[in-house]
Amino acid sequence: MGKKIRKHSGTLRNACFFTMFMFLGILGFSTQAQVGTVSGTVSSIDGVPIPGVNVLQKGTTNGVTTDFDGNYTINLTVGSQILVFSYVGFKSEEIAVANKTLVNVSLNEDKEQLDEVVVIGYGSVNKRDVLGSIASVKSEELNESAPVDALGALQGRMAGVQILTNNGPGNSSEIVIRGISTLSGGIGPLYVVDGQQVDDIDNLNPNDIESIDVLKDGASAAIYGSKSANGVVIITTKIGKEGKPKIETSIQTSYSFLSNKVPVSNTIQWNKFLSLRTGSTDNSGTVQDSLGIRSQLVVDIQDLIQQMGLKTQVNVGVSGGSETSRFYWNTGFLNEEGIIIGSGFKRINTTLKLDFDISKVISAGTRLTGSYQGQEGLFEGAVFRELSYRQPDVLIYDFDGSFIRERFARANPVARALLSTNDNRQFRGSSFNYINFQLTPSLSFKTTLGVNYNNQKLNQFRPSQTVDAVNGRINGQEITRLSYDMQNENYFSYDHKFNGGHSVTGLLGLSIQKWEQENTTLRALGFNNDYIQTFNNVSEFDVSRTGSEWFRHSLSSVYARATYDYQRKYLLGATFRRDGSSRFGSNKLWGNFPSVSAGWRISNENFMKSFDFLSEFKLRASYAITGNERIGNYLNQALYGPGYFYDGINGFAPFQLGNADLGWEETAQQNYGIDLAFFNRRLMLTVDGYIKTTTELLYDRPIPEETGFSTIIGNIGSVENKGIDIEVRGTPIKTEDFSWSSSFNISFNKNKVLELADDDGFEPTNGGYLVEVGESLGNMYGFKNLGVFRYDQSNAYNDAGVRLTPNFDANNTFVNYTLNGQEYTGNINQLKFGNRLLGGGDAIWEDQNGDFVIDQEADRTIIGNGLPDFIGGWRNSFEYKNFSLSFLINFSFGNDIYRGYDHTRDKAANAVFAPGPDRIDGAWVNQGDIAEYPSLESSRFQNRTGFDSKYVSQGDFIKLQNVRLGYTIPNETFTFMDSFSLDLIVNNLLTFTNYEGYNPELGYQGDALRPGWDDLRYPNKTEIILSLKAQF
Amino acid sequence: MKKVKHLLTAVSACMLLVVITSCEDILDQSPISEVSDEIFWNTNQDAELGVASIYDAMQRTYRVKHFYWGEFRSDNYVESDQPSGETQAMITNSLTSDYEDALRWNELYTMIFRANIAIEKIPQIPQFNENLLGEAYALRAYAYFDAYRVWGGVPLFKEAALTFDDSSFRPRSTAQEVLDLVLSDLAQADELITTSTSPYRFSKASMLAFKSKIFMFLQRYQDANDALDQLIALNSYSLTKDRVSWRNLFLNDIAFPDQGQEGPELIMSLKYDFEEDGNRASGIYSIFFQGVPSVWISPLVQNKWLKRFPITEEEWMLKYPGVPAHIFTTDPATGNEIPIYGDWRYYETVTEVGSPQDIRVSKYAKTNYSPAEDDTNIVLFRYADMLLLKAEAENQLDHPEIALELLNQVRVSRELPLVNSGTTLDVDINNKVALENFILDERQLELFAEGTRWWDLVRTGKAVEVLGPINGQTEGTIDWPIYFRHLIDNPLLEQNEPY
Repeated sequence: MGKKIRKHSGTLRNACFFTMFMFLGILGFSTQAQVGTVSGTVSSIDGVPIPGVNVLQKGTTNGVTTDFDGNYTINLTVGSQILVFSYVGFKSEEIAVANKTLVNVSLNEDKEQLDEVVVIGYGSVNKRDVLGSIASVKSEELNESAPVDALGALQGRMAGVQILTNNGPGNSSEIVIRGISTLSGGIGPLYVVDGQQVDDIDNLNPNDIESIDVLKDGASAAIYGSKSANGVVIITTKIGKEGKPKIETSIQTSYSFLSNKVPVSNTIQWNKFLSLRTGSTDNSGTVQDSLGIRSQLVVDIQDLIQQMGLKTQVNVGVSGGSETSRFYWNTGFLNEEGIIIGSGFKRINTTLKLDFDISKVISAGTRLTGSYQGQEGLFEGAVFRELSYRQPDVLIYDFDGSFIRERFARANPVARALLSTNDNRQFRGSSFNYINFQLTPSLSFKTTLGVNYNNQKLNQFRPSQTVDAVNGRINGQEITRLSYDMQNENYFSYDHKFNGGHSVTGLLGLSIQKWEQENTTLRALGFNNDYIQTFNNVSEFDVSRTGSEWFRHSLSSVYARATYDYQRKYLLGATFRRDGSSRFGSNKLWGNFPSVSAGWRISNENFMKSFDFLSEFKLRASYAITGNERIGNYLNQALYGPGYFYDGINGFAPFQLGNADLGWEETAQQNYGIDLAFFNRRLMLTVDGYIKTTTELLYDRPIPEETGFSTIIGNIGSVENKGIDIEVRGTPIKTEDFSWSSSFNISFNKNKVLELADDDGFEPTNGGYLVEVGESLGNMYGFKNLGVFRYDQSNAYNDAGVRLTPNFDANNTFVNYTLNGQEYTGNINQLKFGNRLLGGGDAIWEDQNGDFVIDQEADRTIIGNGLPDFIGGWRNSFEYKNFSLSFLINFSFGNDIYRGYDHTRDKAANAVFAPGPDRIDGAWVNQGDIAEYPSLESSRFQNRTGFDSKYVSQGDFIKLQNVRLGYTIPNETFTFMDSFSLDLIVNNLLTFTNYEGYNPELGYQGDALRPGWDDLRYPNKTEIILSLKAQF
Repeated sequence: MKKVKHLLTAVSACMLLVVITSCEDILDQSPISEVSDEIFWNTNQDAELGVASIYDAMQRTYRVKHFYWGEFRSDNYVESDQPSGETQAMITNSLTSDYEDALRWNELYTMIFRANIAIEKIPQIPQFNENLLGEAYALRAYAYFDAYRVWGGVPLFKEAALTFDDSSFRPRSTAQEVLDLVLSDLAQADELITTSTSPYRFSKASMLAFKSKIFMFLQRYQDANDALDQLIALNSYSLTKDRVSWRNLFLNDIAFPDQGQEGPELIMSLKYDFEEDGNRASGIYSIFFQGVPSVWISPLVQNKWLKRFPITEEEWMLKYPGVPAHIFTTDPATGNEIPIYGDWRYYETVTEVGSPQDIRVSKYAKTNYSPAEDDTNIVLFRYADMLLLKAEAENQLDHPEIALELLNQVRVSRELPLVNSGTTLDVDINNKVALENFILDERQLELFAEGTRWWDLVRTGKAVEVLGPINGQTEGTIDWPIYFRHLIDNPLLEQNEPY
């Protein structure tokens, strides 16, 4: 068995020995003839004894582990007289006993064994010595679901890290680390790819990634200062290994289809609505022209726009290296057709990574990437929202097969999906170079220079078939966003292990970063024709919106870090960063971001010796202040700009007020953690608790509009996130042929607004939500729906606001009111909406202030919250001989969704919207009806306005996110290959949810304050992938 | 080890030095596509651009509010079978503080803010253009005058403040204080403006029109009459004399290319241009003609119109025997011309679209088009309006015969019979009240859908008299409520009493 697996990799080989030992050791296959006793001490290279090292007589099942002081004694049996010393995080050693009785061994730390190393800012640490809270995912697990974007692949795999996928092809996923701690758009973390800071990793091929480490706690992230408050995601890409060049290829083909549809009304329901909205009680749904084509024709638009999505991913990589150089070159190609017609995504990227050891002192390297990504997008409003409320009797196709054209702003969703262009293309390149001087064995100096370049083109075009039938004009726009940034860092690193188990590391550096963005917009009010879609064919330009803009932003920083540990028992760390940003006011240009952390590995203490089963017991604590500078440029100054046209003059006006005190958002985060490992690390538990308090929140705060402005950006308040992340990992079964490993994570987060400029809170733009002191972000705000009045007489309350029960006789004639079973003869109050007395068939909205008048000002209340109480995931993987099976479950509980699309159509704000089927069928029609929904009569304005708790749904879900079945073809089969494997992957197989929309999972899409707002986005898909991988 | 330490200290000291000296410069990023206050307002060209932006804010302010404020609370309209909450509330006198489109004053105050800046900055420009400064005063007066008419007292902002602080929270001033500012701005504008006429901006002529409107509102009839006399004496404007010219004062419809929005009666309009002002620049089409309207023209107005100018030959001849029709249609069968009786303004203004109740205002658009493309100008001051105002003023000043003359001047231009020329007496011109009512009715028909009727009723004190029976209008609710979000954003504000 050893032979077979050895070819895979060192990691596996070690694991096998370890496993073998474990399996046999624990189960007690140990009675064998003795031929001698060997003892000794195992220590690390710097002399610290290592407990728990596996000592195994090679080729046998005979083995022991070292005790707390690194000592062991083994009775050798017949067979090979070689001892194998193995321990996670160290290179295994094989030593011939050769009749010695004392064998002392010092193990080298295994730097390549990436499982055990965690990359942090400007360096890496052994995972066991981490003092903060860092979640890591390695390449293998990352690529389990054959993802298109790396973030999406993290879903459910990390505690405290919420990933929200936006389903459309090429739509990037969103990541939220430990709750929302900002009010403005920038909820995303900082990304650092091999040391280079970037805004997103959309252009990264997941296949290029070796590991992703998410720095969740403040102290870990604080070295990145003003960009780190939302956490830091560190990506390490692959690099070649010494040895002969290897070619690795993979081909993945995927088929995907729409997971579920949303209910929409049919023609009968529409006819019913037309009748009921006039106040008629005819709900038969029949019309005189019942045989007319408009009544007879039933089209399911969702059927017309859906298709089998096809995706192909091809990847070819070459890697290798010599003693002094290493290279990695990978090229990936991806082509995806969406499950909705007219949507798709293409990406081509190539990465070349080179590292050279020029001399003993100097090493240098470069990473060059180039990528093209092209998204063929949809106008989601014109397709999904439109189909949800489109009149069912308005046809899609005309008799001659052409599309029915748009009329009265009612788009033809099929034509829009199929014919209009909404492309987003990005041409990106980056270069990242470093030179490292190893000045002394302990001290090095590194200088890096990174450049990112992104040329983004957004093209929109609406051909003649998609514009208004009578007076629509072929129109379009082209936006070019050219952005480039430069980053230069210079830092000293110091790492020394002193005698006696003291080790010290240090870091001191400075960096300068500059960003530029140039935007150019071309807009045409009209094109001559459809033939040519470029802007040489324009008949009329949109003068007011054709133009260009240019923005700059810069950041300058100094930073330092020091750590100290004693025998890996007592660990201390501190960092400091000082950042200056051009974005802030003259009074707040510079910010300081310190952190401290400490750890105590109790399991290394003498008094813990007797707890053999405990392989690790570590307590951690850290505190840090981090910042967020992600707001627009120049927001601190009062500025004038053009664009205010009147009568041929492009007028100038101030568009924002100045604020010289505009400064950073500051997040103070405490993190307390405990790491436990049992049974030789077969079972590991990590628990982290945190309190994150963000102050000086940046937000466009609403101000009295008498000032001429609606908002001003300012540092207006404070928000707190408290939570617990729990992660359990284990390998319950590990035998020669079969292993089962499992990991489970769950995280709880509670959000609370501590302070705002206005104590009574504010409603974010677009409404439906309220941000209020003492409450969580994401609170939905509207009228609380208590049902529908059955009779006119049902609207009756006593003075205290308690509803009276109206009683009717057999002929449905009103008799009297009762209250608690007693006849009520007192004063009767009735609810009014505006000046209108409510009656049978009107919605009952809770009268919050008890004045019997329902109005927006005083009667809205909290009707839900879009943030989850807890989220998590559970992953299992099984290996049996050459087969492997893994599955991942991902869940989210406690979040509400406001069905914005349902609200829009049901309120029929636009007279040609068709309400949803349950709204029409469930509407109140006659006095006495027990109805779920109020009357459809359009003159009852209350029933057509206001955010209403009726449209709040529970967003809880459990998803079987990913199932993967793999088979590795035995090596003997194809001798010319190193390995060949075949996988069947199913993504999004099952979702358990009560939510009726397309998908209970909703990205923020840039609006941190309105989580859980569903205006019907690109729907969810189930995906089946066949994957082939070969290595030569 | 020691060496290293020295090196480290030295290098880091250098590094810090570099940071401290050079990095401050790196952080000094001045805007590229925008300019700061210090740079702007240097030349009269800057002033021109600054004043244009006040008009730009005015466009946004009045795109629907001109009509909502000016006539939606009058007897001109009834709810359709698809009412919207907002228009329903205005028509049925059930306004609450909820209604954004009618009540939110953000754009009005943006207009005031931009005017404030211009008023403060333009005089600092060497040899500044006085006319531009005058326009800024006129625009501020216009905005505050409407605030006065709509809410009474509102917070007063007169200075250019580009920062936000405690002084940005202000309570409402009294109505009188607002009015005082309006009148003083008016005087300033009067002095400064030198342009005699301009179709889309404030000029001497439009100032006279504006002043006469204000004085009429304040019932200062002599002042109004004087201003109107000056306006007439300019001899720059005249009444249109036929159906097509009258129609072309308002029309903006792609079915009538290259026609409309011009004529000798237009003193000043708020100009909209789709290319400059974008989607839904003007709100006229969506208010009056859009696919499913929330309001219809009131049958009361329709009846008033048809009673005054019958449209059947029989009734017409009964009222105006022997008066011939002025417009004709061609009988498709015989090719003969058939006379059409009645007031051609009626045919241009009122169109029955769907059901017999579904009658809409077709003064601006006569066919359907996308509301996104609406860039119909809003007529602010029109000559006929001025002549009819003068008729009112003369009546108040006890010159009914001049009033009658003015009424007839308009009637003749509309090819209509003279007042009291029919078989039934239209009005007793010596009865001041009756004549006032008669003039107001003439105004209602001539100026239908031009945002005047509600103000006519309010300024003459007839709002309760006319609307009370229709929707229970009371004196108390003549002022409008303040939008509830304004009250939330500024705790110093107090709502008007009845709301």
